[in-house]
Amino acid sequence: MRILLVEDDAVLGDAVQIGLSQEKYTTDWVKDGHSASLALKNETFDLLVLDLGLPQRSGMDVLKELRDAGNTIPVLILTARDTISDRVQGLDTGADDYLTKPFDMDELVARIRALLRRSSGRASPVLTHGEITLDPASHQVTNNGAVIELSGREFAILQVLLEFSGKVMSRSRLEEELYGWSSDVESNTVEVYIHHLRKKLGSSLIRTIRGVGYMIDKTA
Amino acid sequence: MTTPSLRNRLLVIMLAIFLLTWFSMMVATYINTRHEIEEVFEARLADSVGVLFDLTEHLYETASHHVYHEGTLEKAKLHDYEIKVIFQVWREGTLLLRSENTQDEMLSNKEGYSDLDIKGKPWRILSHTYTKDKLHIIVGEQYAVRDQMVHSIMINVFWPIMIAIPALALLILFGIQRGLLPLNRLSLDISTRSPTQLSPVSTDGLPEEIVPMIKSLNELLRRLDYALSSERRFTSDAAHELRTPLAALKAQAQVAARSINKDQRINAIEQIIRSMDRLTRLVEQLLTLARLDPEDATKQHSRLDLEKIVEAACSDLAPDAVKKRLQFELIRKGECIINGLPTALSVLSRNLIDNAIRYTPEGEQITVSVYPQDDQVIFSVRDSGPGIPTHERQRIFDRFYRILGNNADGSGLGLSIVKRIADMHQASLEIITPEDKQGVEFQVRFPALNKETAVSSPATHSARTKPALPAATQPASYKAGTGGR
Repeated sequence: MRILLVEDDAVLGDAVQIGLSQEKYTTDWVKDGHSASLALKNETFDLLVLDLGLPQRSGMDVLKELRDAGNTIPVLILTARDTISDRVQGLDTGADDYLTKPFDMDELVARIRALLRRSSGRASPVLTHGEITLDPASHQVTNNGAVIELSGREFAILQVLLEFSGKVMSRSRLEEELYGWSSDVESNTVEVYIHHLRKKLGSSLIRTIRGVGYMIDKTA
Repeated sequence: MTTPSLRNRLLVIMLAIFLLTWFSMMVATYINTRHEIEEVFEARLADSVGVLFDLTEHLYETASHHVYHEGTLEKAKLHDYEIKVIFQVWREGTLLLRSENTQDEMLSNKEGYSDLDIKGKPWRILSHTYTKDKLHIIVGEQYAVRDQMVHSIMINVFWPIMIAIPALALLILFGIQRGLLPLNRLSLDISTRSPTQLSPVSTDGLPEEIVPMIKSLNELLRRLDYALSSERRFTSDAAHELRTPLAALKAQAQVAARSINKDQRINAIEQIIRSMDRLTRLVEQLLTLARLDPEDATKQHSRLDLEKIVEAACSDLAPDAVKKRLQFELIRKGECIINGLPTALSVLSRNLIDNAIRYTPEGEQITVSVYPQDDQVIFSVRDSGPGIPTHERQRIFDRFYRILGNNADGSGLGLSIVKRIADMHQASLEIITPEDKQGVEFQVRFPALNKETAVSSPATHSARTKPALPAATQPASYKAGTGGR
C-alpha cells in the first residue's frame, strides 16, 4: 500500500515516514502543497496523509483540487488546527478522516488501516479469499487456518492484490507500491515475490495476465 | 461621600432658579404696589381737602370752633380700609373745625404734603391754603393704613406660590426622571452585558448630549476588543505552534520505541533532541514576547550606549558564527547614546545577529555595525546569504511566519520580537538589499540622544490598551532572548 505524506515539518515528517514504513506501508513524503498536487496528478497512491498549514499551497487547496478532479483517494488530515469548525471544514471539503497533532502513532496507523479497508469496500478488517486470510493490523496471513510466514514485501504485494481483487495490477504499479520513490529498486523483483507467494499459497491464487500484470479473482 | 446624583443636582438648580425668579418678582411687585397705593392715597388726601373746603366754605361764618365728631364713623367700621383720618380747618389763625382725634394746635403750617409723627405713629399730612377764602385746611392720614394694604396684597401673592412649591418640586422631579430615561436605558444596556460582549453600544435614540460620550466609550470598547482578540489570537497561534514540535517529538519517540533497526533508533533519538531544542527555543521566545508588554508600559527608558550592548551580544554569539565557519565582523565608530531599555535592546541585537547566523550558509560573511549618523543611531546586521525575496519581506515580522525552504529550526518569533522592541524605542526597522545585491541587511534606526540632553521619560507613542502591570510582577530577566545556546 502506497501512502503520500504531505508535511512541512522536517522532524515530524521523518517520524511519520519511518513509523509507516515500520507498518509495511510504502510512504512518499513531500513538504509543500505544490509538490503534493504534482505528485497526486502524476502518480497513484492508495492514501493521502495531509497537513493543512503548508507553504506555497494550503492543504485545503490541495484537497479541493483533488476532489474537484474526481480523485477518490482516501484522505486523512493531520493538523494542529483542532477547532470544530476546522474539522467540519476539512471533512466537508472532502477529507475522510481528521487527526489533530499531537497524535499517537498507533492511532494514525489504525485510522489509515480503517480508511484503506473502507476504500476497498470491506467492512471486516481482515482480507479473505477462499481459505486465505490477511490481517493488515497483525501482519498475519493464514491458509486453511495455518499461519504462513511471509516477508514484508511478499505481504505488501499480497495485500495489494487482495485489496484490489478482481482488478489487474500492473507490474509498475506493484513496484510503486513496494518502493515508492526510493531508488533501490531491483528489476524482476515483482516476479520473484509473485513466485514466492505462489510457492507458499498455491499456484492457482495469483493469475498472470500476459503483458498486463497480475490479479487475484474476486470471490463470489 | 455619596455619588453625586444628576437628578438631585438638576432638581436643586431648577428650584433655586425658580425661587430666585419668584423672589425678584415679589420684590418688584412690592415696589410697584407700594407706589400705586401711595399714589391712590395721596390723591384721596387731596380729595378730602377739597371736600372739607366745600363743606366749610358755607359754615365758617356760623361756627367759630366746631369739633367734628368723627367718632361715630370710626366706631361703625364700615370697611377694613377705612381711613384713619384727622383734619383741621383754620381761618386766619382761628381753628374753625377739627376732627375729634386731634389737637387744637396747628398740625403743620407747611404747604403741601409732609410727614408728621403723632404719639409715636407716622402720619401723612396735606395742608392747603385757599387764599381767596383765607381757609387753611389740613388733612392727615396714618401711614399704617397704606402699610396694611400693601401687606395684605403681598400676602395674597405670596401664599399660593409658597403652597405650590412642593408640588412644583415634584413636577420638576418627574420631568427630570422622564428626561433621564435614555440614560437609564443606556445604563441597563451596559450593565446587562457580559464581560466578553465588546460590541459597540447603540447610539440610536440617545440624546445628542450623550452621544459623544458613548462614541468615546465605543472607541474604548473597540480598542479593548482589538487588544483582547489579538491576545487570544496570539495564545491560539502559540498553542498551534507548540503542537507540531510536540507531535514530532511523540512520533519520533514511538518510532524509536518500536524500531529494531539500530541506525533508525539513533536517528529517531537525534530527532527527539532536535525537537526538544526547538521547543525550548520556542517557549523562551514566547516568554520574551510576553514580557515585553508590561516592560514597555511601566519601565523608565534610560540613557545608554548601544555600542556596548551590541558588543556584548556579538561576543556572546561570535563563537556560534565561528562554529558555522562564517566570517564575522563588528564595525563600530564610537559612542552611540540613545534612550532605551537595556535588556530589551540586548534581546533585539541578539535576535538579529542570531538570525543572521542561523540563516546564512556556511562560509558566508556577517557584518554587524553600530554607528551614529546625523541625529540617529544605526544598528545594522548584514549577511551575504541568499537574501529575502521582496514578497516575503512584508510578512517576515509577523508572528510565527517562517520563510519557506530553509531548514533552520526558527521559532518564527525572533523578528516579531525585534519589531516590537524597535517600536518601543520609536526606532525604524528596515530590510535593505545591499548595493552588491548579495544577501540582506537588517537596519534599525534609533533616535540619537544628545549627550547633554537629560533623560526624559519615554513618549507614550503607541495607543496602549493593555493595562500596565504593577512593578512587583515585572519579570527581572531577559535571558530567554535568543535561545539557549
